[in-house]
Amino acid sequence: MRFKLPPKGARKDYYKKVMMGSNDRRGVIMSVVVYTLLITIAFIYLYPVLYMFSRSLMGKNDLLDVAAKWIPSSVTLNNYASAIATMDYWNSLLKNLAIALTSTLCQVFVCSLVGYGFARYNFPGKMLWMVILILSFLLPAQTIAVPNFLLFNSMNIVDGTLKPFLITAILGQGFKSCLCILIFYNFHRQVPQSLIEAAEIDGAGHIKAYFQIAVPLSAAAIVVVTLFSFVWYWNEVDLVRTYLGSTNDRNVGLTTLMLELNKFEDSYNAVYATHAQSTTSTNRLNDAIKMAGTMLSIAPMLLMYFFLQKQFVESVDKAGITGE
Amino acid sequence: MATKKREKNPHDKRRITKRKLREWFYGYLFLSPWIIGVCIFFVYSMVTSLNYSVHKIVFDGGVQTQPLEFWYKNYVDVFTLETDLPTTLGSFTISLVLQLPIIISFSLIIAMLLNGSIRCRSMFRMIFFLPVIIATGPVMNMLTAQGVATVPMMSDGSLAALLGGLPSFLSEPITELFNSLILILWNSGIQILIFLSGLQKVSNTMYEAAKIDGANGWESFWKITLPILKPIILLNSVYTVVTLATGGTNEIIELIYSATYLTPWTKGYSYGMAFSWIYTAIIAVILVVVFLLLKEKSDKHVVYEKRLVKLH
Amino acid sequence: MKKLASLVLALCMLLSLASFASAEEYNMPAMNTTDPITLSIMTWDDFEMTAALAAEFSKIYPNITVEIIRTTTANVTADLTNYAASNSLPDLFFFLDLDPLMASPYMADITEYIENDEEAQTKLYPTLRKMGYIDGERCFFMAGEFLPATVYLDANVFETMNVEMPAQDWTWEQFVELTQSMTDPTQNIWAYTNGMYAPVTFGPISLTENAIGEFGWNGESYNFESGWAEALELQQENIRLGNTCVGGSDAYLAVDPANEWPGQTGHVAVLTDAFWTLNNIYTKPLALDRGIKMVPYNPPVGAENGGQLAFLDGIAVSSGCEYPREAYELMKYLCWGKDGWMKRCELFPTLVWEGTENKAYDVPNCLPMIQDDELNQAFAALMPDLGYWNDWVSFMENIKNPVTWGARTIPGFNAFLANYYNGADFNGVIGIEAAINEGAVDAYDYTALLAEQGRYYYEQAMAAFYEIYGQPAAK
Repeated sequence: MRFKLPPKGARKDYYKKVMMGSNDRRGVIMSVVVYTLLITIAFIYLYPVLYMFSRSLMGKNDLLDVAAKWIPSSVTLNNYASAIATMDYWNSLLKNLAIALTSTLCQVFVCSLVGYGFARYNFPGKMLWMVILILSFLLPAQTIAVPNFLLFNSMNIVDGTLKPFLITAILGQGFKSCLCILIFYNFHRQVPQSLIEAAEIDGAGHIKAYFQIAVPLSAAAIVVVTLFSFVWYWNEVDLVRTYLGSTNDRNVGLTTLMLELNKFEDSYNAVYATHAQSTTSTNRLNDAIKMAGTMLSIAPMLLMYFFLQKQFVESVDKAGITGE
Repeated sequence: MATKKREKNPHDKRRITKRKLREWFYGYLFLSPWIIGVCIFFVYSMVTSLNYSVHKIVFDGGVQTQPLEFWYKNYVDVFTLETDLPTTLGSFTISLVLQLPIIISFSLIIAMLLNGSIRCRSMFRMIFFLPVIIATGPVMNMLTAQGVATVPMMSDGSLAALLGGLPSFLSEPITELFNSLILILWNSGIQILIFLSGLQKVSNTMYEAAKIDGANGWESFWKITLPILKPIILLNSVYTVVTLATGGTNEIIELIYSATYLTPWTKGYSYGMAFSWIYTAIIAVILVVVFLLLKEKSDKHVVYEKRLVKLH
Repeated sequence: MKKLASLVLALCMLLSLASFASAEEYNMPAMNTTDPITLSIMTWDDFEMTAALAAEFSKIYPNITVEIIRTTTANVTADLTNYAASNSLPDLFFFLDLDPLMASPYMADITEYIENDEEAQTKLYPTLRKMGYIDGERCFFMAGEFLPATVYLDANVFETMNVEMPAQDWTWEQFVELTQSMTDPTQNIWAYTNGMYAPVTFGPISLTENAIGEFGWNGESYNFESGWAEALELQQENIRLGNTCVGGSDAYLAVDPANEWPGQTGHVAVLTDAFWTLNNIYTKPLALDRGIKMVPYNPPVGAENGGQLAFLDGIAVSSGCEYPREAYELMKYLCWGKDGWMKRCELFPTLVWEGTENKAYDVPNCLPMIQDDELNQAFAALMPDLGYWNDWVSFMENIKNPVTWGARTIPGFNAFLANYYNGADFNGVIGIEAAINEGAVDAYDYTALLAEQGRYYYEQAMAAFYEIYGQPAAK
């Protein structure tokens, strides 16, 4: 406590303030509650990652020993070396980055435009398009799986290149574009119309008003949509398989790390999984490589977040500067 | 949406002015990439699948459509053959009604905590991003198969041991609750981040102004944070409903899958299409209810805007 | 003289005719082409082996290139639908469920090839040879991968109980007797536990003569009357009397507070589980360090030509395949033919995971599908020596009639399960097994109804099947 204790008569009050908090400070009780909550939940989220990490560092002896569960008796990077070789990691990483970054860029830009269009303008048919937007969000994927497959087939764009990714992203049909559009819609709608109208009256055209006012004001939305899009493009397996074609070869066409990781799948465990607990899991040596591969596959997303999360804080200031 | 001129009153809202025309133009201009895309990649497929649903489908060197006895036969069949549907739908709705408020309020609380002044904020934010990475990808399935997507206490039975002293009518719901809470935690990653980004809209000056007016934290939450976040709450609710309703673990999605692919004689592909359209309609109704409950009244929005303007 | 000559000639002709009739003639159609072609095969498993064998196949037939299309078990049915819709089915494809393939013309008729293939006719296990004859006349698919459903008997428990272990050709009666007599609570021993399947699954197959499908299906009807009801009764009696060890039950928790899977704690005499448990657990330190001695057996048979439950994946030549003869040959090489399997035995120990030194297969992941002494011995040599047991040759010899789960081979089975067996209301309870468990109905009261309903869904499926694939040509 930075403060000196107050005189005796006021002490009771002071303690109450320390424990329960005041308008300016969080009380001790509240702090305990907050940190307990955060740490508990953080533990739940961290547990599987730490488990994966520790397994991925274990050598043969640890893996085959039932007793050694958490701390490896000797740390080995062999699993990582194997995973890197099996997944052709660096090559796959580059190809994956090519897919995820370009698609994300297109997706963020287009969804921002569309979200803004919905939020800023009134035009006939707006309700209809809104309903279609929501519908495309909620229709179960298998409903349109066959027509979509036929469409992609007839368009002849599935050839292991970026084409299907870019075409869909530029046309606002990327992975979960609907949610991105809705996020932008929400953010742009909250910007007081008067601000934009004022800018337009000042002589800025509609397009200029979008770039100069709406875009900076939606910095937080841009950050969050970028994060999501990147993660979705990184994580998706089934659609990526469709977009790249199922005979695609990583030596010829593009690939993603999750696709490579999927090749570790043990199909028999998937079909007849009854007691697929870690103790009885199929080939535990290969499991450790799979864990290492998983760590390597999610690492780029964590890095991405690490750099982007600062933007959250900065975007507040930006919003302040542009004069909300 | 009525665009016809009915009266010649110059103040009539329906009158088409040049300004309005320009607005229409720019509206469609901003939407144009998406409209093209949605027509090619969604509307076309949607219409095709609707067409499939009113035919008998045979895959013979392509998709062959054959007429049904009457065109809406599949839709009638869904209601007669899916005897499980009412109960499954009922239990889904109940779990939705229970989960939705929990997910929304939980992720809002976490977002506010992460936004507030806490120690190791970056570290916590990093950790709370994990469910976004893990739960949306194949990694989650792998972890579930390994039995580590839950808390260690759950899998090794020590929670059961801990609750062992309690009578079963108490311990069972507690275990159940604990189980579903963990699932809820994993399903809240996206919502937390959306809230977090929404909270960036609330500038500190507003809180300070409120504080000067004598409002405490509780009051400024209700009077400042919540109104600003209300559209985000709606957004998050829509997202939550849609993911819960169409996620791979949803029982009705599984029913649709097995009807579509596994029992072609009694049900079959086109029946599955009809089934999923009926299901989509039901979810749409649920979404409309959510929307009506959470939508901001237009006058409130104006008040909020005015307050913003006043504050600056 | 002329007469005699003609008589001799006539006799000769008759004799040669007779010899034609007695010695079966296999006239395999010639390969369609020697032009360079590509055959595609869709699979979800065993990529290393498939690729290696495909390369060997291309060495034998240099004009054929094999393209492997990857899928997963979760996606295979939907993928097939997509390919069929776009008229681009792979030439060969593995499948999990038969019904969707019958509802549209996915599969090519391979009767001509299988019936003129001497190896298929003389060496394939009889049930596997008959497996793809959907209408009894025409063959549309074959078994692509085979693993027996393995029963494990714990040698330690038998020693403790002072009971002699049965021979590898044990019978259903022996199985029943063991599960009823081997329980000894004072020594914490249970007679039996369900692993991957229970008696109600493998019992009816074992108990039915000439069974070729689940619930004792023989190509015409199910055997609910004796097979199913008897096995279910045994299953429930054993649970009621405490002969069956139930993981997580109070009785088991008292013995093993950690609630480990009963199959790995040494408290159970007989376990019905999968073949791969051997590789996963019983050859690994987890079990070896505990001294667990699990001896693998084939499922016991309880009727003449009774079936043995097995894990079998189907594989078919697609109807759109331009070179069905070549595709058949590839399928044979990759799945069951002796040449391919001898090569496979060579490859098993050598294949490694791409980029690692880890073996792709510790223990072979599937078994041969033909009876051939040379192959059996080559294969048995690859199987692990458990130390306490290594009689793989007699294990192999006792594979007689592998029969798999219903959805793979019986038309209309899925619908029967979904709409009646698990879906109908039995005296207030949904699903017959649940209803019997809760005491709502008696199994024997429903055997006729079940058989009738099963037949009903079969007939529905067949009627539609004939509509799509046509009637078999009259012989």
